Amino acid sequence: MILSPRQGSESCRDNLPNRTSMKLQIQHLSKTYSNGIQALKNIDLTIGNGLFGLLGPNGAGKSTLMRTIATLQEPDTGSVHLDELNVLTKKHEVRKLLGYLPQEFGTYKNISAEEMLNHIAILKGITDKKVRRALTHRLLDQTNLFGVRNKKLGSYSGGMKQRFGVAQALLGNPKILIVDEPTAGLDPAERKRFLNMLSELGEQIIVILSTHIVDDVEEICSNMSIIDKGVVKYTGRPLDALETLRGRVWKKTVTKMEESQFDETYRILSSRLADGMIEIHVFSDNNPGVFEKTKPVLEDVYFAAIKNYLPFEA
Amino acid sequence: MNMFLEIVRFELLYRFKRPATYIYFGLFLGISFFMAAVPEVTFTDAADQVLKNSPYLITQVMLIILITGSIVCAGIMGVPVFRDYDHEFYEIIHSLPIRKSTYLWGRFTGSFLVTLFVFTSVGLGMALGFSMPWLDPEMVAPFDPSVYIEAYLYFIIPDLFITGSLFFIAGSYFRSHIAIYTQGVIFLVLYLVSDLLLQNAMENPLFTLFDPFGAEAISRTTIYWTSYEKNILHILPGGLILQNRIVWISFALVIAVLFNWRFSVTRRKVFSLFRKKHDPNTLPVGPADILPEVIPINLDFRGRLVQWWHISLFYLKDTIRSIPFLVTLVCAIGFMILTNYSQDNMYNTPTLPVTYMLLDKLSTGFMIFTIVLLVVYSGELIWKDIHNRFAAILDSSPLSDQQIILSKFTAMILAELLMLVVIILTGMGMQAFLGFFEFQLAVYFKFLFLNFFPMLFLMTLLTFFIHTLVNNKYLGHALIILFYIAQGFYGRLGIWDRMFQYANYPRQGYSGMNGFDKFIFPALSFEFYWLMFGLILLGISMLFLKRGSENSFGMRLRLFRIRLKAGHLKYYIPVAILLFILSGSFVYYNTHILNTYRSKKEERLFRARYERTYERFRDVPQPRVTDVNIQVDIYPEEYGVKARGTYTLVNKNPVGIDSVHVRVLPEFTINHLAFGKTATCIHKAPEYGYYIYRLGKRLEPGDTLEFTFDISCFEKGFSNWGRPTNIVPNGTFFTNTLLPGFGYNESLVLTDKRERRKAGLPPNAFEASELTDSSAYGDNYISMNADRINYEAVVSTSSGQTALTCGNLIKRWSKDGRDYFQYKMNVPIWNFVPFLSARYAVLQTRREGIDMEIYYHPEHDYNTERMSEAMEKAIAYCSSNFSPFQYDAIRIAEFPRYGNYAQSFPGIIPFSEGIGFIVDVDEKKGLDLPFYVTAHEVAHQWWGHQVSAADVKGKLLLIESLANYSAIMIMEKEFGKENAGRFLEYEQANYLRNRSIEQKNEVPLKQVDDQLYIAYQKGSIALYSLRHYLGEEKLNEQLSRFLMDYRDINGPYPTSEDLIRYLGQAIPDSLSYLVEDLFEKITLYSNRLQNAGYKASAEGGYDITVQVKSQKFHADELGKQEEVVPDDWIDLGIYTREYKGEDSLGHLQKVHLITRDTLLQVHVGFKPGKVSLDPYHILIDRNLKDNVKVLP
Repeated sequence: MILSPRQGSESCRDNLPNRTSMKLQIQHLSKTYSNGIQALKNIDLTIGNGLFGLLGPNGAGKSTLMRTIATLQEPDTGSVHLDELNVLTKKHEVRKLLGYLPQEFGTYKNISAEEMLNHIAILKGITDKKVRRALTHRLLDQTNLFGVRNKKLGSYSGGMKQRFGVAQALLGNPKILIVDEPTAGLDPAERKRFLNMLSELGEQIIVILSTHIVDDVEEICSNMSIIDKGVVKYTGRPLDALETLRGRVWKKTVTKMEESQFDETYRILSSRLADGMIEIHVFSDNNPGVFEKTKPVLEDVYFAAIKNYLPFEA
Repeated sequence: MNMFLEIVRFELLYRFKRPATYIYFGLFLGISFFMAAVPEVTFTDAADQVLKNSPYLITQVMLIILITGSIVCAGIMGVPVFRDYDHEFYEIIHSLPIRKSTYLWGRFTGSFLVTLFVFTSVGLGMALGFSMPWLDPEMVAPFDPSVYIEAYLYFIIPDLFITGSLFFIAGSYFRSHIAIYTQGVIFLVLYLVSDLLLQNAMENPLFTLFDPFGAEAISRTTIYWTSYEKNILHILPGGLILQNRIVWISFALVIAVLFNWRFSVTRRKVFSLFRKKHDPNTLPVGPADILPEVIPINLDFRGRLVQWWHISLFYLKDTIRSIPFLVTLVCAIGFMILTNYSQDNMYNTPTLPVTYMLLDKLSTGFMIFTIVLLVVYSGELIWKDIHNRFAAILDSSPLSDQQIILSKFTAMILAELLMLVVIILTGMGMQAFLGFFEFQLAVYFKFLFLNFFPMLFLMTLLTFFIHTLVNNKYLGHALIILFYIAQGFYGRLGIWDRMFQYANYPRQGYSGMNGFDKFIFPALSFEFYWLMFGLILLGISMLFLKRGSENSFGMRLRLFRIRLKAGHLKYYIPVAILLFILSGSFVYYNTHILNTYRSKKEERLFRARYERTYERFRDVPQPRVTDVNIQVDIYPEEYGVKARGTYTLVNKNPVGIDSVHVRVLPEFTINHLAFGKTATCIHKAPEYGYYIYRLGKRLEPGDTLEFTFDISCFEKGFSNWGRPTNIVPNGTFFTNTLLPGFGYNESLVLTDKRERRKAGLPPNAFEASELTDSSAYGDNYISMNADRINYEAVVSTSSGQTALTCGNLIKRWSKDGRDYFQYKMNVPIWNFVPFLSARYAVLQTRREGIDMEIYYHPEHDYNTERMSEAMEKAIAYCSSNFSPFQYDAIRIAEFPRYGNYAQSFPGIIPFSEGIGFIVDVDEKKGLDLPFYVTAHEVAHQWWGHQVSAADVKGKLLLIESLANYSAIMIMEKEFGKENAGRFLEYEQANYLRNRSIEQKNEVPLKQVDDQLYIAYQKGSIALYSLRHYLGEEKLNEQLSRFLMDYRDINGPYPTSEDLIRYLGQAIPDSLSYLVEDLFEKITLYSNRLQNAGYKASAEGGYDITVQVKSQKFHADELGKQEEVVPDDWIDLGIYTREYKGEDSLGHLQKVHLITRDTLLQVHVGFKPGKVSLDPYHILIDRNLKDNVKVLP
């Protein structure tokens, strides 16, 4: 009844060309909302297989970008291509290749998880009843929802709902998976597992993960972009970014009073409370004074990018 | 307190920043202005004499707008707290140091103020509208602010408070839009139930308490208000209205207190009360190959069909699983059952639950509820995915725009079909419950799928269109409701052409005799036409579908173009447009070319021109018909008739006649028209069917002329109104008004006062001649250019049918597959005869040398015995009391219920299947309707056919009042005086109700024109009260003398004055006031028993003391009453302890009242149980209930 995860799949995978890499190309993408907010400013990005992290603070334009890729929003200018496929005009074709987990999503509260998943499977065009049943069961199994598949979705906890979200996004044969801020509301262990799963998926298809949590990206993303106020500040491998910062991040433990002075004189990357004192990270090519060199972390990259301290080449 | 004000301020700020608030305001302003400022907008039950802005109408109209505008009240009041939860703002609220009640009632107050603001537009719009310069100053009273203030104080504000607070509570407590709707539905149900129960004016007035709006309490309070009273009296709380207000406001307050207590800020949702916390599953997420092997995805045509069907079912399931849907369904079923019990048409006599009658009765109920479900759930389905925040997943799935709309549409249609199934099951259940097992499934299906379902389908299309286009749920709902309201005004705005009324198609009732038959085709043609239009709307909806997060109209317009270019819609829409044009042309060809269509204006001009051209010939002397010898060939299956024959004309005028004015209905083809002597046609107006022939030789007084004709008419296609109902495959019924006639025809004259004014015609030219106009005495009320005629006819019809007309059947034969019937009347009759043809069964009896026959539809044999008995009784009563019966036979012949009446012709009574054949008579409960109608019509063989009336005002007194009086007497003999008294009670209610909606002026009985409620109801009350004052024998003796004196005359005919003169001779001096009160004035009483008590008398028996209050009024033509000093003899009845049944009236005496208050002492020999003033209801009294006192 339940397709065994092992059986058959191996042999299939080998000779399937559509598991091979696709490329998402975004060029000169701009979008201004009717209330005057410019959400995207001339975005250029190229994303291939692997887990791609889209990092940025709230309101940076991440969701606008994600929605545009997911065919739900019209940009003012620019283009988005999935290989040869124009995402903006061939929406229907793109939707066949798409798995999308929106930032915020709800379901029909009085309908069970299995029924709902079945419904979404139909939306995706899986019309063969047997196949659909096997697939939904398998996905429920893999997201550990099988035991609660008959419960109403309204009664699911945040984590369960998020896993359901993944299950639904994986229905069909997605070649590009868009997950918008998926880790919010997950406990640390759950988040960990979730990211691992995405990372595994990234081996086979394009996975774009948007988040404002640096750790999400640091741990698993093969590639990333930092985006702020609609502008891409950095694109590249996280390791490369860390490499760029090597030797240019300095730390010092200061008091609260001192912090404000430092704020004016130094290019502060971040500050964090530790034992009543504040540890600040400062960006500088040489030691700005009584600082201690420290190994850069991705958070430093993030702030350096957002605060425009570095001319990261995009 | 500060916090409270802060919350109120916040709410106001929020609302006043939103365009919706102003849209609502503008919407109501517009509607109210429209209702007030457009002269064509009138209210059916308000007479012309009622000023457009009378206190009565202002209050009523404001209330109507308020009730229909409840959706807006729900939209504002239902959501404030719900909104906080929806936006997850509640957590912040929760964390603030605000008391629960401060928060709740702050939100409430803010929203309530906004609601009040929105609804001020209603009064504003109306006041503004009424001051528009184009309104006829005679129709508008000067502005009186107090009316508006009272309406707001007593109705609008309390209603908004009652419904608004309940909406607020439901919305906050259940936090679901649909709970708010459900509540709206419940309000509607309460209002409708109350309305339904009160359709019978004699029903218990406490049912008004059901209605949360107080509208029913108003209707009930003002039910008998005359035009005059409507113009001057303000609707103020008191009695029923006050009770209603108090009950509902208290109810709202109690609920508010309970809510305040039960509401919990932290509780997420009431429906998750039973929510179980599941183990937050900590098993690891699946291993590496989480991505399954390639799944076969099928998006070809077949796959899309499967998707469409599955998704439709998904939405359907979700819709019908929702509790409010089920609640509405249960309400609908309950309401339908209730309808069956309360909506009994005449004199509370229920109809047998024959399928089509049942469906007719239930249709109001299920229409309303199905439409409510349609409106609410279509909107709900369209918005569902957005509300459930599922839209992003749906919109990014590889589903086409068409599929999304089509699936939701299909789900809605399936839900509607489910409703229809429920209706059918409810109907059959009710039939079975009532012990009636003749289920006609085919009738259920035809009725619902021909008349009802197409409308649902089309309205669903429109709803989808509006919602996708305006992209705002509440506004969408408001627009759809507006559309429904607008439908009611098409006619008033002069839009008669169905081709411009979306979703309108001719609907024809089902007839047991004739089925739907020929009405199906026109209906289907219109339905197809509108379906094509609806499909265009659907196509546009698909192009405008909001998909993704683009909201702006500009962007959607851009998408519209892209979609149009890309998809199949670029083929689909033109095809739909093409079919729309083709079907439109077909309908147009039928309704405008094959048949005549005139707009309201064209019709007005047409008729005005007729009057202007031919009115001058009204008094031109014309010869009179003395002999009719015709052959009428009816072709039921071809909807046609051929008629040919000869009229013998005699010049009965004192002057010679040069020319004859011939009328032939314009629909007829004239094959031949000729006069025995040479004559030339000098004027020809086929559109009016008016032809003037100059006679070759002048027709001198007393000379005779032969007129021969040959005309035919076969229906062509169908018209805007559907098809005529007189010639049908089974149940043809028409009269000789279809055959040629002579002289000016008044039936074409405009009768509506406003229409006449617009056409520039004098206001009253169409009224009957004045009572004193002796020049009109030469014609009787059905003259048609004749006095009594000799009548002979051959009527033919298709084989298997029986054709009937007046006369004795002389011969019957068959030829060429047709059946021929030759009739000849043995005595002269008036020139008014029917022609009927149908497949009849016959019930024959012969009594006292008279053949009594009932020709009926074979399935309708429920009451034929009863009718036969009534015929016999009526003939016996009238023969012995008035004069012998004049013909050899009397027949009743059933005709389809396209008309609900019976009509008496010489020796033959066409009788609608709708009023007697299928009623369920229970003498104990109600009245015997078939018996009554039969008696009434048979009595017309005397009152109408033995004696007629001059064609002047007051003629109906001689015809209808006397027939009705005779019928009551026949019933009294059969069922007793108490039964007759109950009948009079109905007659009083009918009279009072109808005079309050009189469109002209009310006149005294003696002057009655065409007002049937005066002729029938008031007439029977007046004559029956004479029967009580004079005694049956004395009264009938006078009637008999009157009849014998005028029986065989050929004019001049008697008038009401003549009858009253005969009656007056029998009235003693002490009762001489009766002539004036009954016939010459409009007299009403307000009789009441203030107190009644009794004690055992010393010499045995009992002494009863009764405090009587009696007021007597004379009313003018508008209903302005003036109290007069009484000098009346009124019945006082004392009942025994078991005060039911005729025998219990132990003592009856006439008491003489000369003052308003009188203390009466009566001695009776038995222990009294009840005292009743005027126990037989012979005096007209708005409140009969207080005429009775039950003794302890």
